[in-house]
Amino acid sequence: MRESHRAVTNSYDQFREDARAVAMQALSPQLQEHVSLKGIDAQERAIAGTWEMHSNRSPDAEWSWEEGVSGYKFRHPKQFDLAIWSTGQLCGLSIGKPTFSGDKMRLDVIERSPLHNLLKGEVTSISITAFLTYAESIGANQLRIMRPLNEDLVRFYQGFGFTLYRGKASNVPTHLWLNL
Amino acid sequence: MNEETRPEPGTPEFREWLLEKVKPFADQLFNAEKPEGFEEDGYIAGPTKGEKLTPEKSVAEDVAIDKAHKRAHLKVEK
Repeated sequence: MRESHRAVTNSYDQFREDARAVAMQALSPQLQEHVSLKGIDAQERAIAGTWEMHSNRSPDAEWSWEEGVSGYKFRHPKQFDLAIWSTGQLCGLSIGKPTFSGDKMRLDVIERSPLHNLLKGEVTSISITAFLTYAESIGANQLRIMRPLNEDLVRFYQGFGFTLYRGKASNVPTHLWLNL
Repeated sequence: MNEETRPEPGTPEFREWLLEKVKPFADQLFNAEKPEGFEEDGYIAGPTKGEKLTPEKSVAEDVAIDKAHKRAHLKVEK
């Protein structure tokens, strides 16, 4: 790893740590009682590897946490990764990064565990809260949720100020965006 | 709070400043009732079959999306 790459990774480690800690405080008191927020490391990747073979996982899902996270984190040292735990169970994962211009934040993947868990229905809101916090901390002015796959979910977040851009061209995928 | 009054990252003041910015929005999210079947499909957002998340592709997407937003904004202004 080059020194400049390491320096960026290290400096953004502080932003990631701050964002997870602050997002934790921003959760509802009920969630704070049993939720913890971490980065995605070997343990989370291994667990997510079992999700990818689960019969409940959408057959259309392309992203592999087990295979994709390490490369994503290395190639994008300013990325933000989030593992959502509750009572010893990994309940959700999300990952994203600033856009090319650096002034907007992309949330590229959100996934809830296919197993029964206490956080079903809250994984997206927890992810959005953490990514919003990270976006604010690095000075981004917009949050984009890339490729949302559920219409009910899209409608729900439109009620909180997100705008839907329904992509037509292949390089403009459907996304929800919110100015900060 | 503007950039001049933004506290130093890594300090307690920075975390307090961040919390003040995000807490009102988070409160709204967590107080809202979610519709039936919300997050039923665990794969909530992400690439689907045939799509890859490569750095080259995401840069092209970022540029194209910025342009699309600008065009949409111009339409609204007309």
